[in-house]
Amino acid sequence: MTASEPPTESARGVRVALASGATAAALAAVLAGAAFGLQAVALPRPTRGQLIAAKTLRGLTRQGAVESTTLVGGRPVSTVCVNAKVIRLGRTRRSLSGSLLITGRRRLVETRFASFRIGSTLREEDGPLPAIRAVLAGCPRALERRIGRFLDDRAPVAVKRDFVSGQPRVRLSFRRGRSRLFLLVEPRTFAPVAVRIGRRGTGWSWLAPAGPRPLALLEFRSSHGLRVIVEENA
Amino acid sequence: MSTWLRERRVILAAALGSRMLVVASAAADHYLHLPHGPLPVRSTSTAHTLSILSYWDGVWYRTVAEQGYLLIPGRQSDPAFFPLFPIVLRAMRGLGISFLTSGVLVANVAFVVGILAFYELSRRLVAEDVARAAALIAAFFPMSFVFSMTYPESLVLAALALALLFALNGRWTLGAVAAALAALGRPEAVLFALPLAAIAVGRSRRSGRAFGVALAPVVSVATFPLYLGWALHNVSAWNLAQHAWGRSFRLDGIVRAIQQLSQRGQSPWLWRDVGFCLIYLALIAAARRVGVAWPWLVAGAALVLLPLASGTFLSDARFGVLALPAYWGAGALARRRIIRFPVLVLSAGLLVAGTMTIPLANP
Repeated sequence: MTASEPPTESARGVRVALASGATAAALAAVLAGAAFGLQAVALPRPTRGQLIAAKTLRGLTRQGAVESTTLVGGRPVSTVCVNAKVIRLGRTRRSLSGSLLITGRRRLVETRFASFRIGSTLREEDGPLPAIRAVLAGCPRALERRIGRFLDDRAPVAVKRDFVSGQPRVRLSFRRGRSRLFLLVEPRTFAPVAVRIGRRGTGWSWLAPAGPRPLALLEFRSSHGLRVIVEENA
Repeated sequence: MSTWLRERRVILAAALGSRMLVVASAAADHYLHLPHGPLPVRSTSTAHTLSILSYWDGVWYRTVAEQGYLLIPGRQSDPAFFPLFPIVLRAMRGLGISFLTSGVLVANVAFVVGILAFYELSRRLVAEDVARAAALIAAFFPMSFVFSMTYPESLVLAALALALLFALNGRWTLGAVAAALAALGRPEAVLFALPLAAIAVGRSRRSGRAFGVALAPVVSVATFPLYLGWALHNVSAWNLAQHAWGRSFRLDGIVRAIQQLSQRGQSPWLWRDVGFCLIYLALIAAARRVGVAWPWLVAGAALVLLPLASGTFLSDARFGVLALPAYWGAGALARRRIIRFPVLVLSAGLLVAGTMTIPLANP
């Protein structure tokens, strides 16, 4: 074919198809840009603190066991906290995610709805103290729940760069009404390294991932005649 | 204009009348304090006369409008909800209207526009008597109370019907814009890319803009994860949030959904969703009898069946309200007045019941 010859039917077809495809792609690209731009312009974005808190939370959901150290009366006290499944054996078998705290010989089971001190039987613990203990022990589920509640309410999260023992850390301060939570997180992984609750002057609880443990299955009978199985699922 | 409206006054009256029925039922619920029980979602407002129309997912759409998205790992969070409705709510808020009032207003006005557009669309595809019956049934359909809730369904209905109508009229750019908006409202709108592509192939084989209309909902849906990737630093935020809501899609999802029905402790409301799922499928099959083409039927059936891949029938009754071919099937079955009248009376009764039971179960 020379330049002066008319294009064949198939060549014209290819050209038309290419032009159509280009027009369709251009229209799609314009619409995609407009749709993205609309979302970017119209909707507010979360703050940097909220994003870091969300990343910390993501790390916590993957954590199974944590070891914490707190100063009590000037003496370091260590607690191991392990994710646990609490199975209530009544007329219907119900299981609940919770945490098992082990401090020396004392054991405490904490769930979203109730907490139990483990002795020869299970004794229910009232009040907010067991939940606070679980948070200070760095129990992943308790901490996850506490941070999650702040984020659910879109509570402000202040971020500050900090150095602790020569290590760079990010300090997150959560505030909602009278409720406060402070976290030091590792700046690369956002894993929590220390936690503090409430007013100034209360001490930090230092956290470290706990090593692998042989899984335990504990069965108890509660004072209400209920049988409860606590199964570690770290 | 007045002639145009006069010709459609029955459809307009049905759309307005059905919304008055829903709004009156919601107000009655409020004044009679019915039904008793705990609030369905934390931070739900109860002060407004029409507050039940803002229950359930309405709370989440308001949160997005107010504060934007935030993925909260391990918990139910808002990136599971598509952005069009919150964007509109936020724009209305800028005019000084409260989220609840603007949500109810937008939903109901969009529904009236949607029903009129659906009627016009139907007239292009099926006989006039079927189109009229289909629009009337769509207006009074028992689950259509969700079109009055602070949910995006009515916006999507209007945008979808307009997109398809524009495409049938060869107004490709307008069709593409409407299709893109529909897909920003609910991801199911992307299924209508199939009939849009069929229209493009059938009407304008050589126009690039015609094929652009079919691409529009697909690219529009794709921008949402991209936006979340930009705003939340997580492109998978939508998937992760869906997972936390118990909606992880798997190949054996439909089998799991059926198995779920025999498990103990399931909500009895699940059977409402099962019932409507079967009704939608039967009506889509009936639409075949009046010559609705297969791309429309496939889109409608996929819209009803795909959510089951998440392992549950939950909310399928609501998802199916956008299955447009189901209304053509209903119109075909009820084209005769002697059948249509009792069907509409029964639908209106169920619509009132559905509205009044909103606080009991997430639609």
